[in-house]
Amino acid sequence: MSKLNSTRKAAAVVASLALAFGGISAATSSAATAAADWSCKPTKAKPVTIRMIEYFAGPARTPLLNAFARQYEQKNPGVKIDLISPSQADSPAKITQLIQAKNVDIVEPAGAIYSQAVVAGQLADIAKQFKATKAYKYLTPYTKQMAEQTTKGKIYGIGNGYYTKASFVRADRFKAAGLAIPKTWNDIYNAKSMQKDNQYVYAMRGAAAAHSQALFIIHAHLAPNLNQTGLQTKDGKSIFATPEAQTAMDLLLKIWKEAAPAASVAWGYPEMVKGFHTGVANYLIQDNEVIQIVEENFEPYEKGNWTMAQIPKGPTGYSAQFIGAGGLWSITQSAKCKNVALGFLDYITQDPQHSAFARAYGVGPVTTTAANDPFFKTGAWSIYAKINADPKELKFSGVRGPKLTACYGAMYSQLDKDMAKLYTGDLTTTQLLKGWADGLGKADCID
Amino acid sequence: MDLMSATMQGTTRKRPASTSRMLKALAFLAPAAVMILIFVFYPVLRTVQLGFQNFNLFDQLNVGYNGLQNFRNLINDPNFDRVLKNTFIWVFVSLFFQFTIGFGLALLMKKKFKFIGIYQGLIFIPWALSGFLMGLVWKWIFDESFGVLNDALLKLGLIDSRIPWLSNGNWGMAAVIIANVWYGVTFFVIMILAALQGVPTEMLEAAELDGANRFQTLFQVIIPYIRATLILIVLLRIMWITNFPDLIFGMTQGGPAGRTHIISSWLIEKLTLDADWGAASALGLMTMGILFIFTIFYLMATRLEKESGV
Repeated sequence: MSKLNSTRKAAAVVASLALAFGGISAATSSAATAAADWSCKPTKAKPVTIRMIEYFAGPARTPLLNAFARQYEQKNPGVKIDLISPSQADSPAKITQLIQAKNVDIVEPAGAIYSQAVVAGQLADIAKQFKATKAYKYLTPYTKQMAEQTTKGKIYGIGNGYYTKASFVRADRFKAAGLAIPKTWNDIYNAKSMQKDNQYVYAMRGAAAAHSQALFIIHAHLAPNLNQTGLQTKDGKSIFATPEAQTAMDLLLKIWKEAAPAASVAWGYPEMVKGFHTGVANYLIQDNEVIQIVEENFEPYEKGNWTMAQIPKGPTGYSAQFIGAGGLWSITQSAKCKNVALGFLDYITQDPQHSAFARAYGVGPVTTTAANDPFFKTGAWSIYAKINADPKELKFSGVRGPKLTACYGAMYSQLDKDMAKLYTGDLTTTQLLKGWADGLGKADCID
Repeated sequence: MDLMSATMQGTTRKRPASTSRMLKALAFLAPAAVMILIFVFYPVLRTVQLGFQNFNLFDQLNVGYNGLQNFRNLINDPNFDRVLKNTFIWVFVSLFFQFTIGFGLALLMKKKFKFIGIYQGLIFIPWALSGFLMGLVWKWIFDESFGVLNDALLKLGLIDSRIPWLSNGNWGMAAVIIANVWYGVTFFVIMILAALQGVPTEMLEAAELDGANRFQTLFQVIIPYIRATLILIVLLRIMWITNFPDLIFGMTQGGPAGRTHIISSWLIEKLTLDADWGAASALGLMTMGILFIFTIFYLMATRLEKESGV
């Protein structure tokens, strides 16, 4: 018996020692790995390859990013930058897959990916190292504020440009029809009298991100009674459970059925932009990078046939939109050489690189030097000064807690599918709003 | 030394040679076997595993086995019945037109005429192109606002207003089936032409001597002779069309509101748009089940073809 006890004791001692050493070893190894992640020294003999994936790949920005990569490689022998550029439709799944597979160093986690990846601990907190870079010094105060606002002192992403919604309007056609440029959602609907064969008023979006259209019009009907999440009223209720949302969605459906092309049920980003610059639709709500596309494919802004306006307001005279760094670069937690990845991000976030990127791609700049560039204050760009100065066009940061983020992420594709069902008559506006309010307004979604 | 021990010794002596042959064979087979294991068996096994898991890329904190829940969710999905109905229409309507047109073209191509080489080349073009790419091309052809088809029909005075080809469920199904017929005719032309060339000329001459007209020769001589091949290629094509979401995904992505989804395009939507790998895998397993039935028929038809000697 005593032999058995002593054997048990010995086994217990061995086990506890093993656990203790194991724990110490794991902790040490984890700390060592973390330190190693930030101290890679690439050389020609031991090169380091940084895999980077962009979300908004396109002809205006991808060649530029590749050019920056080649410049950086020349300046830093031993570093190789591999840029992955999926189509925008494939970006969410591709980026999520690569993060999941721990097979990427730098990602552009737009849409719902960023919040989910932060919650899942898949992005690295780069606050300490990023604040020591040259790029950080020249960021606009708003960009610095935005970088930390959502994550309480931690920084998981470096903004690469601002996307602000404005309306692109065929001024010539409204003038010819004797109509003023729409200022409200009702004005858009009432402009249906100007429609001709294959010329419609509104460039509706019915495919990917279609629910953004619902958010625009519901926000315009509810503002200023909105909190910073953009999905709740000031008292924390779901915006979809309000009578204003019902009025707004009924109006949106009327606009879609009577003042927008039927084909728009299948329109995503490229189709709606093409719809505007080919003259199929006369009024388009889109981000600033579309200025360049319209100038190249239709005609220069100076000719005066198209103009820019603020997004339409609702019955209270308000409108609202999310203005954050729509595009941002993040370093993944699994990146083995985070210092090298940050080095490249530091390089492309500095001017003149960032300024060239913002001008070429047409996004709002994140650096003070680029922000003072007259290019961003004149012509079609002048609308953004008006938007910034208008207290009745609310700007959200889109800050959401983990619960609402998880619910929104889980429902994201369903929201778009429901929009298409609304158009085909498979859902009524009331059913749609009830589903959204149930999905996003339940107790599990309130932080 | 008796016979037994002599034989044993002989066997023992032969063993090194046979072992060496076996090792050689294994060495040659190994690369292919490894590739098949990695790229066929592993994905199949992983699909089976994922089919019984909650595995959504956008919900990574809740990954785990969930029994038959993915299958229940799919069957209870309001789109499920429509997807099955669409799959049936997609397969059999496409197949009917592909087969009929393909047979007709194969009969035409059997005869020698001027520029037959160019004609054959044109017929075979679709087979060489990517289905998804062709889907994108057809999408622009059928586009209500920018498409060439509506413009042509309007200019010819055949329609008064633009047809919402891709924004209406019924027109959408018609559009994707038209594209699929165009795409799949080539397969039947190639296969039926090969079968027709195997029909002995003596049989055709005998039929002519017996006074059979063209229709009698076709239906009473040619078709019975190549019947086994026809059954075989039809079954093969059923499996391929069921599993051919490329055109639909390129043209409509299953829209509007899922009205043009077939089972395989719905699977792609679950995989890419919803990032729900569990549901996609469950749907994949259901598709495998459906196709397994056709595989049995296909294997039976293969036996029939062997027996008939065509």
